[in-house]
Amino acid sequence: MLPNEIKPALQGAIPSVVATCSIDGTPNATVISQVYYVDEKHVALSYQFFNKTVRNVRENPYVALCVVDPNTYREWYLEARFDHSETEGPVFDAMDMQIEAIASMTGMTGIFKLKAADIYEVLSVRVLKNRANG
Amino acid sequence: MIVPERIAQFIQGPAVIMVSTRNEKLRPCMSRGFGAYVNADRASVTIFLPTGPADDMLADMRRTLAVAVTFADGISHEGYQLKGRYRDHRPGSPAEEARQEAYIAALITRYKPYRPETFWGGFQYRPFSAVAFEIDAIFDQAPGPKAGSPIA
Repeated sequence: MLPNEIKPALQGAIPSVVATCSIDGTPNATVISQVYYVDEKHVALSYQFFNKTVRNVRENPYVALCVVDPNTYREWYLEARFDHSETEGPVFDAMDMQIEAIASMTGMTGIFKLKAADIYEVLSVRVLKNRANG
Repeated sequence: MIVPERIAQFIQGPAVIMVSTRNEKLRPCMSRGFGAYVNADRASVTIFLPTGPADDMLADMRRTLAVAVTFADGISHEGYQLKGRYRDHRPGSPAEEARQEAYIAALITRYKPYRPETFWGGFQYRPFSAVAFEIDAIFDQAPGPKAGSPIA
Protein backbone atom coordinates (compact mmCIF):
# COMPACT_ATOMS: atom_id res chain seq x y z
CA MET A 1 0.00 0.00 0.00
CA LEU A 2 2.65 2.58 1.03
CA PRO A 3 5.27 2.83 -1.74
CA ASN A 4 8.96 3.23 -0.97
CA GLU A 5 8.91 6.69 -2.60
CA ILE A 6 6.79 8.04 0.25
CA LYS A 7 9.38 7.31 2.94
CA PRO A 8 11.25 10.64 2.71
CA ALA A 9 7.93 12.40 3.38
CA LEU A 10 7.54 10.42 6.60
CA GLN A 11 10.73 11.55 8.30
CA GLY A 12 9.46 14.78 9.83
CA ALA A 13 11.62 17.15 7.78
CA ILE A 14 8.57 19.20 6.81
CA PRO A 15 5.56 19.36 9.15
CA SER A 16 2.53 17.34 8.14
CA VAL A 17 -1.17 18.07 8.53
CA VAL A 18 -3.88 15.80 9.87
CA ALA A 19 -7.60 16.34 9.35
CA THR A 20 -10.15 14.68 11.60
CA CYS A 21 -13.87 15.01 12.27
CA SER A 22 -15.76 14.87 15.55
CA ILE A 23 -18.84 12.70 15.94
CA ASP A 24 -21.02 15.82 15.72
CA GLY A 25 -19.58 16.57 12.28
CA THR A 26 -17.09 19.35 13.04
CA PRO A 27 -13.88 19.03 11.00
CA ASN A 28 -10.46 19.80 12.44
CA ALA A 29 -7.07 20.39 10.79
CA THR A 30 -3.85 20.39 12.78
CA VAL A 31 -0.18 20.70 11.93
CA ILE A 32 1.76 17.77 13.34
CA SER A 33 5.47 17.23 13.63
CA GLN A 34 5.61 13.59 12.72
CA VAL A 35 3.91 10.90 10.66
CA TYR A 36 5.98 7.76 11.14
CA TYR A 37 6.30 4.86 8.68
CA VAL A 38 5.48 1.61 10.55
CA ASP A 39 5.09 -0.84 7.67
CA GLU A 40 3.57 -0.87 4.20
CA LYS A 41 0.03 -0.75 5.61
CA HIS A 42 0.44 1.38 8.75
CA VAL A 43 1.67 4.78 9.89
CA ALA A 44 1.91 6.19 13.40
CA LEU A 45 1.06 9.66 14.64
CA SER A 46 2.56 11.12 17.78
CA TYR A 47 0.14 11.61 20.64
CA GLN A 48 1.65 14.36 22.78
CA PHE A 49 -1.34 16.16 24.28
CA PHE A 50 -4.97 15.15 24.72
CA ASN A 51 -5.99 17.58 22.02
CA LYS A 52 -8.89 17.77 19.57
CA THR A 53 -7.22 15.40 17.11
CA VAL A 54 -6.88 12.69 19.76
CA ARG A 55 -10.42 13.22 21.03
CA ASN A 56 -11.84 13.11 17.50
CA VAL A 57 -10.16 9.87 16.45
CA ARG A 58 -11.40 8.12 19.60
CA GLU A 59 -14.94 9.08 18.47
CA ASN A 60 -14.49 8.79 14.70
CA PRO A 61 -11.37 6.89 13.61
CA TYR A 62 -10.98 8.30 10.09
CA VAL A 63 -8.23 10.81 9.26
CA ALA A 64 -6.79 12.47 6.18
CA LEU A 65 -3.06 13.21 6.16
CA CYS A 66 -0.91 15.44 4.00
CA VAL A 67 2.85 14.79 4.04
CA VAL A 68 5.56 16.50 2.01
CA ASP A 69 8.69 15.01 0.45
CA PRO A 70 11.53 17.39 1.46
CA ASN A 71 13.52 16.57 -1.68
CA THR A 72 10.93 16.75 -4.45
CA TYR A 73 8.24 18.79 -2.59
CA ARG A 74 5.66 16.34 -3.84
CA GLU A 75 2.72 16.12 -1.45
CA TRP A 76 1.17 12.81 -0.57
CA TYR A 77 -2.42 12.45 0.58
CA LEU A 78 -3.32 9.53 2.82
CA GLU A 79 -6.64 8.35 4.19
CA ALA A 80 -6.28 6.20 7.29
CA ARG A 81 -8.20 4.70 10.20
CA PHE A 82 -7.08 4.72 13.84
CA ASP A 83 -6.26 1.21 14.97
CA HIS A 84 -4.63 1.31 18.40
CA SER A 85 -2.25 3.17 20.66
CA GLU A 86 1.20 2.02 21.86
CA THR A 87 3.03 3.40 24.89
CA GLU A 88 6.10 1.19 24.63
CA GLY A 89 7.94 -0.94 22.13
CA PRO A 90 10.11 -0.30 19.07
CA VAL A 91 7.73 2.07 17.27
CA PHE A 92 7.21 4.17 20.39
CA ASP A 93 10.95 4.28 21.10
CA ALA A 94 11.85 5.26 17.55
CA MET A 95 9.19 7.98 17.46
CA ASP A 96 10.27 9.28 20.86
CA MET A 97 13.85 9.64 19.63
CA GLN A 98 12.76 11.26 16.37
CA ILE A 99 10.45 13.71 18.09
CA GLU A 100 13.20 14.85 20.41
CA ALA A 101 15.35 15.54 17.36
CA ILE A 102 12.50 17.48 15.69
CA ALA A 103 11.91 19.46 18.90
CA SER A 104 15.58 20.35 19.08
CA MET A 105 15.63 21.50 15.44
CA THR A 106 12.47 23.60 15.79
CA GLY A 107 13.12 25.18 19.16
CA MET A 108 10.38 23.15 20.84
CA THR A 109 12.50 21.19 23.32
CA GLY A 110 10.54 20.66 26.51
CA ILE A 111 7.21 21.20 24.73
CA PHE A 112 7.13 18.08 22.57
CA LYS A 113 6.79 14.95 24.71
CA LEU A 114 5.52 11.67 23.32
CA LYS A 115 2.70 10.08 25.33
CA ALA A 116 1.83 7.38 22.83
CA ALA A 117 2.31 6.24 19.26
CA ASP A 118 -1.13 6.11 17.65
CA ILE A 119 -1.14 3.44 14.95
CA TYR A 120 -3.30 3.93 11.86
CA GLU A 121 -4.20 1.54 9.07
CA VAL A 122 -3.65 3.23 5.70
CA LEU A 123 -6.77 3.00 3.52
CA SER A 124 -5.53 4.92 0.48
CA VAL A 125 -2.50 6.87 -0.67
CA ARG A 126 -1.89 9.12 -3.67
CA VAL A 127 0.32 11.94 -4.87
CA LEU A 128 -1.56 15.23 -4.86
CA LYS A 129 -1.79 16.81 -8.31
CA ASN A 130 -1.40 20.28 -6.87
CA ARG A 131 1.95 21.29 -8.28
CA ALA A 132 2.59 22.89 -11.62
CA ASN A 133 5.28 20.31 -12.36
CA GLY A 134 2.91 17.46 -11.53
CA MET B 1 -18.03 35.76 16.01
CA ILE B 2 -15.96 38.87 15.30
CA VAL B 3 -12.36 38.17 14.30
CA PRO B 4 -9.97 40.08 16.61
CA GLU B 5 -7.69 42.54 14.84
CA ARG B 6 -4.44 40.76 15.69
CA ILE B 7 -5.82 37.49 14.31
CA ALA B 8 -7.15 39.26 11.22
CA GLN B 9 -3.66 40.53 10.54
CA PHE B 10 -2.20 37.07 11.03
CA ILE B 11 -4.75 35.52 8.66
CA GLN B 12 -3.93 38.11 6.01
CA GLY B 13 -0.18 37.60 6.41
CA PRO B 14 2.11 34.80 5.18
CA ALA B 15 0.47 32.00 7.16
CA VAL B 16 0.28 28.48 5.78
CA ILE B 17 -3.39 27.69 5.20
CA MET B 18 -4.92 24.23 5.52
CA VAL B 19 -8.65 23.78 4.98
CA SER B 20 -10.61 20.82 6.27
CA THR B 21 -14.11 19.58 5.56
CA ARG B 22 -15.98 16.29 5.90
CA ASN B 23 -18.52 14.36 3.87
CA GLU B 24 -21.92 12.96 4.92
CA LYS B 25 -20.18 9.88 6.36
CA LEU B 26 -17.97 12.09 8.58
CA ARG B 27 -14.85 11.27 6.54
CA PRO B 28 -12.44 14.24 6.69
CA CYS B 29 -10.94 15.87 3.62
CA MET B 30 -8.37 18.65 3.33
CA SER B 31 -6.55 20.89 0.92
CA ARG B 32 -4.23 23.87 0.95
CA GLY B 33 -5.63 27.36 0.64
CA PHE B 34 -3.63 30.09 -1.08
CA GLY B 35 -4.64 33.41 0.42
CA ALA B 36 -7.39 34.69 2.68
CA TYR B 37 -8.89 37.88 4.01
CA VAL B 38 -11.35 38.93 6.66
CA ASN B 39 -14.48 40.42 5.16
CA ALA B 40 -15.83 43.87 6.01
CA ASP B 41 -18.35 42.39 8.45
CA ARG B 42 -15.37 40.92 10.38
CA ALA B 43 -17.53 37.87 11.10
CA SER B 44 -16.65 36.01 7.93
CA VAL B 45 -13.50 35.12 6.03
CA THR B 46 -12.85 34.50 2.35
CA ILE B 47 -10.26 31.87 1.42
CA PHE B 48 -8.82 31.04 -1.99
CA LEU B 49 -9.12 27.39 -2.97
CA PRO B 50 -7.46 26.12 -6.16
CA THR B 51 -9.80 24.74 -8.80
CA GLY B 52 -9.06 21.05 -9.29
CA PRO B 53 -7.09 20.09 -6.16
CA ALA B 54 -9.81 21.44 -3.85
CA ASP B 55 -12.88 20.39 -5.86
CA ASP B 56 -13.81 17.44 -3.61
CA MET B 57 -13.49 19.60 -0.54
CA LEU B 58 -15.61 22.36 -2.02
CA ALA B 59 -18.29 19.79 -2.83
CA ASP B 60 -18.19 18.59 0.80
CA MET B 61 -18.49 22.14 2.02
CA ARG B 62 -21.53 22.87 -0.12
CA ARG B 63 -23.31 19.74 1.09
CA THR B 64 -22.46 19.83 4.81
CA LEU B 65 -21.54 23.51 5.33
CA ALA B 66 -18.90 22.48 7.90
CA VAL B 67 -15.44 23.99 7.44
CA ALA B 68 -12.30 24.40 9.54
CA VAL B 69 -9.32 26.46 8.44
CA THR B 70 -5.93 26.41 10.14
CA PHE B 71 -3.54 29.33 9.70
CA ALA B 72 -0.03 28.55 10.92
CA ASP B 73 3.40 30.13 10.91
CA GLY B 74 6.05 27.44 10.70
CA ILE B 75 8.76 29.69 12.10
CA SER B 76 7.14 31.34 15.13
CA HIS B 77 4.74 28.39 15.59
CA GLU B 78 1.86 30.83 16.09
CA GLY B 79 -1.36 29.41 14.72
CA TYR B 80 -5.14 29.68 14.81
CA GLN B 81 -7.98 27.50 13.64
CA LEU B 82 -11.24 29.05 12.51
CA LYS B 83 -14.36 26.91 12.46
CA GLY B 84 -17.54 27.89 10.76
CA ARG B 85 -20.13 27.46 8.05
CA TYR B 86 -19.78 27.73 4.28
CA ARG B 87 -21.65 30.74 2.88
CA ASP B 88 -20.87 30.98 -0.84
CA HIS B 89 -18.17 30.79 -3.48
CA ARG B 90 -17.39 32.34 -6.86
CA PRO B 91 -14.40 32.64 -9.19
CA GLY B 92 -11.60 34.82 -7.82
CA SER B 93 -11.75 38.44 -9.00
CA PRO B 94 -8.78 40.38 -10.47
CA ALA B 95 -8.39 42.19 -7.12
CA GLU B 96 -8.29 38.82 -5.36
CA GLU B 97 -5.74 37.54 -7.87
CA ALA B 98 -3.52 40.50 -6.95
CA ARG B 99 -4.04 39.75 -3.27
CA GLN B 100 -3.09 36.14 -3.90
CA GLU B 101 0.11 37.13 -5.74
CA ALA B 102 1.06 39.29 -2.75
CA TYR B 103 0.36 36.36 -0.44
CA ILE B 104 2.61 33.99 -2.43
CA ALA B 105 5.37 36.61 -2.53
CA ALA B 106 5.08 37.09 1.24
CA LEU B 107 5.28 33.32 1.80
CA ILE B 108 8.42 33.11 -0.33
CA THR B 109 10.02 35.95 1.64
CA ARG B 110 8.95 34.58 5.03
CA TYR B 111 10.29 31.09 4.39
CA LYS B 112 13.32 32.06 2.32
CA PRO B 113 15.85 30.58 4.82
CA TYR B 114 13.97 27.26 4.83
CA ARG B 115 12.29 26.72 1.45
CA PRO B 116 13.34 27.61 -2.09
CA GLU B 117 11.08 29.91 -4.07
CA THR B 118 9.98 26.93 -6.16
CA PHE B 119 8.34 25.32 -3.12
CA TRP B 120 5.61 27.96 -2.86
CA GLY B 121 5.68 29.10 -6.47
CA GLY B 122 5.37 25.51 -7.71
CA PHE B 123 1.89 24.96 -6.36
CA GLN B 124 -1.05 25.07 -8.71
CA TYR B 125 -3.01 27.86 -7.06
CA ARG B 126 -4.73 29.30 -10.17
CA PRO B 127 -7.52 29.36 -11.14
CA PHE B 128 -9.19 29.52 -7.78
CA SER B 129 -12.52 29.95 -6.06
CA ALA B 130 -13.05 32.64 -3.44
CA VAL B 131 -14.95 30.80 -0.71
CA ALA B 132 -16.63 32.74 2.09
CA PHE B 133 -17.52 31.22 5.40
CA GLU B 134 -19.07 32.52 8.63
CA ILE B 135 -16.91 32.22 11.74
CA ASP B 136 -18.39 30.33 14.70
CA ALA B 137 -15.25 29.90 16.81
CA ILE B 138 -11.50 30.52 16.82
CA PHE B 139 -8.96 28.31 18.58
CA ASP B 140 -5.31 28.75 19.49
CA GLN B 141 -3.20 26.29 17.49
CA ALA B 142 0.29 27.04 18.82
CA PRO B 143 1.92 23.70 19.71
CA GLY B 144 1.73 22.74 23.37
CA PRO B 145 -0.76 21.84 26.05
CA LYS B 146 -2.88 24.94 25.35
CA ALA B 147 -3.38 24.08 21.69
CA GLY B 148 -7.09 24.00 20.99
CA SER B 149 -7.99 26.61 23.60
CA PRO B 150 -10.82 28.87 22.41
CA ILE B 151 -10.02 32.51 21.69
CA ALA B 152 -12.43 34.78 23.54
